[in-house]
Amino acid sequence: MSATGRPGMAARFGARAAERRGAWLSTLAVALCLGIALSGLAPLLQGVTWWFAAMAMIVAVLGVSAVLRDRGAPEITVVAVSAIVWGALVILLYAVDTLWFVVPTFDTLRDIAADLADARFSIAEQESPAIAEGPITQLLVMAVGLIAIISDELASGLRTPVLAGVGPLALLAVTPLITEGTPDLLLYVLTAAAFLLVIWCSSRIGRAPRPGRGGRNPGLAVAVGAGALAAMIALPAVVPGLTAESLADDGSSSRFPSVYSSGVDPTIQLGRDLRRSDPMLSLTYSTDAEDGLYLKMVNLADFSTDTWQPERPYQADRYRGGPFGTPQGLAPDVPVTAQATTVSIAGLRSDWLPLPYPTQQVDELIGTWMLSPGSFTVTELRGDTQGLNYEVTGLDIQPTAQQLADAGGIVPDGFDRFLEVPTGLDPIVAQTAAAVTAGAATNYDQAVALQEYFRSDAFSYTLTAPDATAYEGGNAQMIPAFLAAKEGYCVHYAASMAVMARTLGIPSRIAIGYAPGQSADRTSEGGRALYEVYTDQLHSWPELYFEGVGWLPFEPTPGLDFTPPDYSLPDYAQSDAGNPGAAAEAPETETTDPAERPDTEQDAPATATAEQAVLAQVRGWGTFLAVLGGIALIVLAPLLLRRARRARRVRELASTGLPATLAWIELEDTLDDLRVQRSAGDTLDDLATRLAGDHLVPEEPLARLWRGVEWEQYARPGSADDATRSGLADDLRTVIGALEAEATARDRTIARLLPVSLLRRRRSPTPAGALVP
Amino acid sequence: MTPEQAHAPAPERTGQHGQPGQPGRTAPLTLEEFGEHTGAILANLESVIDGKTEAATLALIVLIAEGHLLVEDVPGVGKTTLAKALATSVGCTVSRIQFTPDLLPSDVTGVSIYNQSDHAFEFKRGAVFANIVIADEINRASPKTQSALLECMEEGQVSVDGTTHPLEPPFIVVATQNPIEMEGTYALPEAQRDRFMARLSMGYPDAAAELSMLHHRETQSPLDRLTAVVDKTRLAELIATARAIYVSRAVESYVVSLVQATRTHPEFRLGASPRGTLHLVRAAKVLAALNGREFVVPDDVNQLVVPVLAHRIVATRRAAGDARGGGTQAIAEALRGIIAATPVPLTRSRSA
Repeated sequence: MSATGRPGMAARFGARAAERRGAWLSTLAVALCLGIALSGLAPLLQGVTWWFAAMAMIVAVLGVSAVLRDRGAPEITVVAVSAIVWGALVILLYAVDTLWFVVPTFDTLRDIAADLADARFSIAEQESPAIAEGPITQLLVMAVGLIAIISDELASGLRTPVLAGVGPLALLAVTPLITEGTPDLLLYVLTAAAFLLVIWCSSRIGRAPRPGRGGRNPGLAVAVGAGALAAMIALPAVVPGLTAESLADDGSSSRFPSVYSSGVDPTIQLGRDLRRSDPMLSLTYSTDAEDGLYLKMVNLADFSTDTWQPERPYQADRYRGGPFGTPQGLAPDVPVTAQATTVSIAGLRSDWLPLPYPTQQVDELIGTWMLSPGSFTVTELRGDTQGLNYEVTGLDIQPTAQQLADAGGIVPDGFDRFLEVPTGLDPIVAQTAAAVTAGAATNYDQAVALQEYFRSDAFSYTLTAPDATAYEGGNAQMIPAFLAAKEGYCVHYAASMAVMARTLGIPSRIAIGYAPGQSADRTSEGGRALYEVYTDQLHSWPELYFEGVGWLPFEPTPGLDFTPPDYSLPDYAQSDAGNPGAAAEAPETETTDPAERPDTEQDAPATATAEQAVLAQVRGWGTFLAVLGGIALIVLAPLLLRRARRARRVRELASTGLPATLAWIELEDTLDDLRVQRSAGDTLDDLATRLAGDHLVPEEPLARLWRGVEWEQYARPGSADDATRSGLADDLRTVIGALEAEATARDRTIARLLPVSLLRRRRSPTPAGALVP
Repeated sequence: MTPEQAHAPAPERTGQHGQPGQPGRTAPLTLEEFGEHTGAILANLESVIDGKTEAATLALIVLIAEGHLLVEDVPGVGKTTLAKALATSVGCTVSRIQFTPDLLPSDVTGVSIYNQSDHAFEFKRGAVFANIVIADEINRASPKTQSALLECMEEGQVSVDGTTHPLEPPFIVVATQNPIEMEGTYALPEAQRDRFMARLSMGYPDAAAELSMLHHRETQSPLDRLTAVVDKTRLAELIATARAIYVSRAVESYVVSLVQATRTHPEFRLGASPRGTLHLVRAAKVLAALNGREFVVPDDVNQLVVPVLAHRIVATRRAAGDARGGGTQAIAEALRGIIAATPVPLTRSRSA
C-alpha cells in the first residue's frame, strides 16, 4: 500500500494495511451510526446547526483515523493522532485567542473550562428545546468527538464492534432521560440498523474474520445491554437535584425533577410550588403605586397544543435599556399613571423576569436579556434571576368605562392566534360562557360577567381538589371537569376564563407570575411601600384584550384576598364619575396580614402537614435506599449466586455419588472465574500437570483430586473406594486457595464480581453420535 | 527365495483369533505380574534399539493387543532389528519373509504338492504359519502376494485349493517398509494398511545412542544375546489380562467422538474406519495395563491416536501437498488438533 518512506517501514506498514483492508468502511459506518443517534437530540435543542457542528467534528477525527489506519499506522498512533486533532480543533474553534503563538496556555484550559461551566449552567436553566448557543454546541462537539474516537477505535481498531455500540447508545439515552414523551421509534430502528452495519463492516476487516472474534457472543451482548441499563438507572441517581424530597413527590408528576429544567409545563410546576409546605421568599419590591402589583413573568397564549407551553421568545430582541414602546392596543387618550418600582429578587431562579404589565423601561438590569414585543416579557436564556436588583418604570392604566364600552367587539388583524380555542374542546365550555354572559352587550361586559361568574359563591378555592378529582391544570381537558366541580386554584380559574373569553370572541391569554404579595411592616427609603412575595404567591390570571385599551388583567380566582381591578367590577361604570382614583381602596386593607396567609391558603392543618412531610421524607429516603439496594443487588447478584453454588457443592460432597467429580467441576469453574486458560480437550492429567507447573498449585491434593475423578469416571462401577471422600473438601479448598493466592488482586476481584462460570454451558455428558444404548 | 521356515507349531488353542475379549472374563494375571513380564520384554527390546522407548512400547502394545505392526522408516534405522527382537523375546515360532517382486502368493501361504507315494495332494505350509511373521519390505511384493497376506492377517486362516487351514494364535505380522525408495514398489493399498493396528516410525537415534551403538556392536550383533523372556502360554495370559481391562462408557464415547471427527475433518479425504475404533480401544487397554491401571482413561486413548489412526487416513490433495512433511506430518498434526478440540467427557452422574 504505502510505497513511500523507508523500505522496511513501508513493508511493515504495508502488511498491516493489508490486514486492515476495509477498515475505512467500518469507520464510515461508525460515523453514520453516531450521526443518526445524534439526531435523537433534536427534541432537546433548537435548530440544526449543532448537528452539523458535531458532525463536522466526527468527520474530522474519523477521517484522520481512517486515513492513518489505511496507511498502516500502528493502532496507538491512530488513537493518539485522532485525540490530538480533536484537541487542536477544540482549541482552534473555541479558544484560539488564548494561544501563545501556537502553544496552548493555562488561559486556554481556563477558557475551555469556563465554557463548559457555562454550558452546564445553560443546560440547567433552559427549557427544552434549548437554544443551542455557543457553550452547549461546544460541549456537544467535544463530547461527540470523544465518543467518535472511542467508538471507532473499538469497532475498527480493536474489532470489538459490539462494545462500540455504547457510544451511540449513550447519545440515544440522553433524550429519554430528560424529556418525557414517546421516543421516536424510527430513530431507534435506524440507529440499530446502522449499528448492525458497524458490526458487519467491522467483522469484514482484513481478509477474513479471525475465528472466535467478532462472532456471536451472547455474553458480551448481555453485558453491553446490562451496562447501558445500569447507566440509565444510575445516571438520574447521581445527578444533582434528585433528593429524597423530590422522590417523595405526591404523584402530580411521574417524572423525577432534576437539574435539567424541563420547564415545558409551568402550570404543573406552579401547582407544586403552591403546595410547598414551607414558602420561601421569592422577591421583594417597593413601589410608589397605591396597591401591590401583579408581576407577570410569562404568557401562555397558544392553547392548541396538548400541553400548554409558555410563549417562546421567537420574536424577542436583545434589550439594551431604553423604553419598551407603546403597549399593544393602548390608545393615547386612555389615562395612565407612571409608577416606579424597585424589584429585588431573593430566591427566585428563573429565566423570566417578574415585571408589572405594562412595563415601560427597566434600568440597572445586569445580563443579556431579550424582550418579547407583544407581551412585554423579558427573558434571558442563561437566566438566573437570583440576586438581581432593577428599577422598573411601569404604567397604571385607568380606562374610562366609556373607553371600555367603545372597544365593542372589535378584534384587530393578527389577533387570530389569541382567539384559537383548544381542539376538541367540550362544547359545554362555550355553552356555559354564552349562558353566563347572556345579556352582555360588549366584549367588556362579557368579560366582567365572566369574572363575576367565577367570583360568585358557587366557586371555591382549594389547592387539594385537583388531587382528588384528577384534573390537574395543564391543558384544556380539565376545564369541563373544573366547571362541574367548581373547585380549584388559580390555574383553573385563569385558564377557564381565558378559554371561555376566546369562545366569546375576546382575545385572551394566560399570564403567570406573582400575586402582589403582602406589605411588610416597613417602608423602603423614599417612603415607598415594601412588599414581600413568597413562593406560594405564584399566581396566574387571564389577560383580555380590548381595542383601544390593550391587554387588561382580570382576577377570576375567588377566596384569596386578591382584589380585582376596579375596571373589572360590574359597577365600574357607575363609580367612574370622573375620579378613577377614588375607587381605589387603601392598601392596608387589601394586602393581607402575613399571619393570616397560611390559614387561607393552606387548607390542611399545620400538624397534618408536618406529619405528611415526615412521612414523605421517610418514603422518599425509602425509595432512594430501595433504588440503591436494587442496584447493589444487581451488581452483587453474580457474586452471591456463585458463592451459593460453591457452598452447595461443598455440602453435597458428603452425599453425592461422585464426590471427586463434583469437586473437579467446582475446580474447573474456579479456573474459569480466574480466567485461567484451559481447553475443552484437556484431559484431567493435562490440566493437572499445567496447574502444578504454571500456577504453583500443590501437587499432592491436586493429584488426589484427579485420581479420584478418574476412578469415578472411568473405572469399573463400584470399584472406587469411599475412603477418600472426607479429604476431598480439604483438598479442594487447598487447591482453590492456592489458585486464588497466586492470582493478582485485580483478577481475584473480577473472579468474584463477574464469575464467568455462571454463564458457561455444561459439557454434554455424551457427545453427538455416541453409542448410547 | 525360499521362505525361512521355523519349527512346526504345536496347536494348543485354535480359532478364537481376532475376536475381542468376552465380557466378564477374569484376568489370569495381576497387574503386578503383567508389569513384570512386560517390563522384561521391554528391557529386551531396548537393549537392541537404544533410546527408542516409545517405539519399543508401541511394538509391545501391538503384540499384546493382537494387532499387526507396520514399521515404516528409512533404511538402516533398525526396523528389522526391532521386529526380530520382538519375535525373539517371545518364545514362539517366528518366520521371516523377504518380500520381492517375484514372490508368489504360494510362497507366503503354502502350496499343495502331489505326493507320489500317497497318490494324493499334500498341503505344504507356507511361511505364514508361525506366531510372529516378519514381512520385510512388504511394499516390494506384487499386489497379488500382498493380498495373500491380507486374508491371513484379518481372518487368521489360510485357504488353499478350497481347504481352510487355521493359523495358530497368537498371530502377529510385523511388516516393514521403506517410504523413500518407491521405484518398482507397490504401495500398500488403503484396505491393507487398515489391517495394521499401528504404524511405527523409528526415527534416527540421538547422538548419545548412536555412539553407544557403535561401542556395543563392534564385536557382535545384539540380537545374538537375546533370549526369550516369556513363553507362549505367558503371552496368552498377558493378552487375556489386557483384554480384561475395563473401558467405561465415557471413554468409549470419547473414542467414538475422536474417530467421527476424523471423518468430517476438512483436511481428510478419508477418515478412520470402524476397525480403527476397535484397534484404538484394544491398544488403549494394553497401555492402561502397562500403566498399572485397571481401566482406560482418555489420556491412554490420546497417546495412541496418532500411531493407531494416522496410517488409515487419506489426506486431501491440498493437505498432502502441504510443506509439512509430505502428508504424514500434516495428518499427525490434524489428529493432534482433533484431540485438543474434542471435549473430554465428565459425567455428573453414573449412567452405567
